[in-house]
Amino acid sequence: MLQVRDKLAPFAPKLGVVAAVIVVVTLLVLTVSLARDVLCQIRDLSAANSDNAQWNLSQSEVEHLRLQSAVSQALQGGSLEPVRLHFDIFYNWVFTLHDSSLFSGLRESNHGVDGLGKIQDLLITFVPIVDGPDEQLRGHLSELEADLAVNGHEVRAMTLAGLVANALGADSKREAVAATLRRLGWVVVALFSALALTAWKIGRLYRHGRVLTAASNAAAARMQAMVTSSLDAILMVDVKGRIIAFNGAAESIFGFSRDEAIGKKLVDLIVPDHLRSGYLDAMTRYRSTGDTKGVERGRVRLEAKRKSGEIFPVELSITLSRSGKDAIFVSYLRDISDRIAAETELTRARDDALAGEHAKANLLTVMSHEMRTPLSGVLGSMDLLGATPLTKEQTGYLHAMRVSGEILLHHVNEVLDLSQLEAGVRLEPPQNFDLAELMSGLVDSQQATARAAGNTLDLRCRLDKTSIVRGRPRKIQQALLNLIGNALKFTRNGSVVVELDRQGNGDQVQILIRDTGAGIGADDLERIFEDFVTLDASYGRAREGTGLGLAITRRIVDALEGQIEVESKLGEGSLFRVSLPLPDAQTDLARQPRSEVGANSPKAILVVEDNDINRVLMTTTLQRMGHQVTAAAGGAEAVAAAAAGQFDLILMDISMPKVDGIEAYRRIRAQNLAEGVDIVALTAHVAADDHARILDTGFAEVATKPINRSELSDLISRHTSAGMAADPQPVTSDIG
Amino acid sequence: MKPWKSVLAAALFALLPVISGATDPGSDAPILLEVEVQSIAGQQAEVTLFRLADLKALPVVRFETNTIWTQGVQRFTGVSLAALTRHLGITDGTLVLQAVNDYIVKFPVSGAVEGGPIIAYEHNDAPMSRRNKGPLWIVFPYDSDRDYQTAEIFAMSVWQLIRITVEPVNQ
Repeated sequence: MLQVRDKLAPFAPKLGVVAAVIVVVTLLVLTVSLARDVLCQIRDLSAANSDNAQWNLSQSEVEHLRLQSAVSQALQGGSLEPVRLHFDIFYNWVFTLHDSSLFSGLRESNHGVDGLGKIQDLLITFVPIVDGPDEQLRGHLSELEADLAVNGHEVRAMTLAGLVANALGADSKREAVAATLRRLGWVVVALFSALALTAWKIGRLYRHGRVLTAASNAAAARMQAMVTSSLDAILMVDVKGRIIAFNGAAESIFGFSRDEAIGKKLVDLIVPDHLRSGYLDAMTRYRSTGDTKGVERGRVRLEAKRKSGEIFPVELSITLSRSGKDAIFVSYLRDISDRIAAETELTRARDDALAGEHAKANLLTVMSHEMRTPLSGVLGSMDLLGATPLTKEQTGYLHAMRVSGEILLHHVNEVLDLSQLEAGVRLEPPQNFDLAELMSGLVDSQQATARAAGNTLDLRCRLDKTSIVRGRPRKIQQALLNLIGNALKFTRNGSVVVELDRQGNGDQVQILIRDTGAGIGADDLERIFEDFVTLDASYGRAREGTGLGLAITRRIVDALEGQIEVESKLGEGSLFRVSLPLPDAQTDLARQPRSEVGANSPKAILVVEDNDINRVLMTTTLQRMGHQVTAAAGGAEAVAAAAAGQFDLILMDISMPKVDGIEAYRRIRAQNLAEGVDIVALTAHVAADDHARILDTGFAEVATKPINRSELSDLISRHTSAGMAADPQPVTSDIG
Repeated sequence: MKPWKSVLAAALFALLPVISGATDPGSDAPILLEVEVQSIAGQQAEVTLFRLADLKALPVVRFETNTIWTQGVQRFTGVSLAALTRHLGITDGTLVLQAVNDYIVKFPVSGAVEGGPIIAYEHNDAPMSRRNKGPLWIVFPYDSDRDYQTAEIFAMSVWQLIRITVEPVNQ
């Protein structure tokens, strides 16, 4: 509708004007023709082919009387000449009445015709007498007088008839004139109306035009204000590339004043040299083909040039504004130097943060190696020292040293665990184990700690039928130990209860650790599982320890695809709920032969370790466990030893000078020196990459140093031939 | 004519005989028209008498026209008022036309133009009798111009003309 109107709009006024002109011209023609008509009629009225008909008629009566008078005077002896003169005059009048068109009305009325006829008859009768000799005329004078007297009535009647007829004729003429005048009046009224309508229309157009002009001015003023106050530079460029508008923002961005910019070529002013050809190509294409694709490309990032010659990044949007044949490119242009700088800053910050992460990982790697290696030496030495005869006092000191050493090792391990879990070190392979046995061992190992703080520690196991499940016992043990250890740590003279039950018939096993200890504030509940938060949180730092325990626990549970939740009330205690997928594995385990052979079964073990202290410690430890040990101080020596003797297991350090553990492994395997013998890597490296690389080489397992006796015992059990299976003793924690 | 010339002409006319015949004064033919030219003072008037021959001696004008007093196209022959006034040396003033029945009407000399009114002495190629609007009749060529079809012109169409008095301008 609007479109249609818009399309018609240019024609509508023209049609209207044409119609109005036609109407006015028609009315004018009508008016002129009617006016001419009226003028003719008025002239006819004034000229009125009448020649004073009334006067003529009455004159004929006058002339009749004069003739009568002349005859009377002649009868009384007067001259005959007046009789003849007035006879002729009267005769002339009467015959004029008879001939003239003026008196057609008279002649058409019965009275008129009769009267006129009689008078004419009389006159014709007397013509010979009047023209005759005087005597004859005088002889007929009395007769003439008598006839004239009789005819006086006829003349009178004829005059009256003529008057009536003329009056009628005048009436009809007046009517005609009146009708014409009325018509003229209507036409004039119509003409006036048309003119009035036209004037009104013109007035309306004028007012409409003024309103439009005002609106247009207002819009222009608003537009001007918008352009002026815009924070973005606004440039308008004509099709020849000349700048025709340049707002204040443009002035401040480009450094050119408005007067400097207007009329200049855009390309010479702000287009950097390297974009020049592209810009000119786009403009040329537009001019030759009208194709605006090269110009109107939405928001684009380009570069522009300031007056100083500085090139800076801009965000640009160009729109082509067409108005009739003219076209103007309107460009909105934003200086995004600051944004780019901010983005760069942000990228750098992110890179810095990533670098920091790398540094941390590197630090951990270094820590793991450089701290654990000497720690292995300390702890191993203490083990050996404990086996020597000591005084009671010395035993007490040694115990203190061992406790401190193990706490230190525990802290280091926690940090390393976290980084390992973070790095996604692959977990031990799942295996079947007795969950109830594992839990009771765990609880038993903590009983001493519980008693020391006046706590009771109970295990309530509600597993149905069987307690053999499939899962990763070492990780489960680590996670639960953390939770139980925490519960005991924050409880004094209270109770800690560990409950174990299977959820229905499913694979989920729920483990609850409930204490009556200090509890955790609601504000902290959300935070206790977060990474590192506990490092500086009161919960973690209130007691001894790194405070990473719960973070590690959460990561372990996550890695085991379980869930951990906590409920707690400050001062009333806490409840940790761990759900783990641990499917029933009764049948699987039943098939596995249970080893009855203890750790005492002696094995031939090759220990490869470049660190002298650790090598001696490891050798001594293994010998005390009853094994037969051969030690090699490097990769080359290891290969030689493997070639020289038969072993049940090879424990290989990885980081060694010259021939490292991996190279030694390859050589042994390449020469088939230890067929069917597991080679276990023993390393202080904990990084996931390292472990993966070592396992890819072919090592049976990667054990992390320092390694305590029980771990070592397990390790030997796992990797020596059947009958050497590990004694399923509960693993005792090195720390309380 | 300029006023001073009129004064001069009047002074000259005052010296001339009062009545002058246009042609042979001794003729038996009746005098059809008397033209009196009044001087400025109105006392020393000059009268010129015209017989039919005198009128016919002047340039003859002939035309055909309808009139409101007759039926059908009429043919008139006569002398134009313009020729008559020129003959008499009259250039301005007013002609007072008088009929036999004392009908009097005034006509401006300026109206006496060639192609305009004539003093007709023949109607349809025959002399006119007194019973038929004669012997002289002021006739306009009514058909030639609508301006000659007004009541005023019709009133000036004097028939049975016997006398013309020329009144000077400033009278």
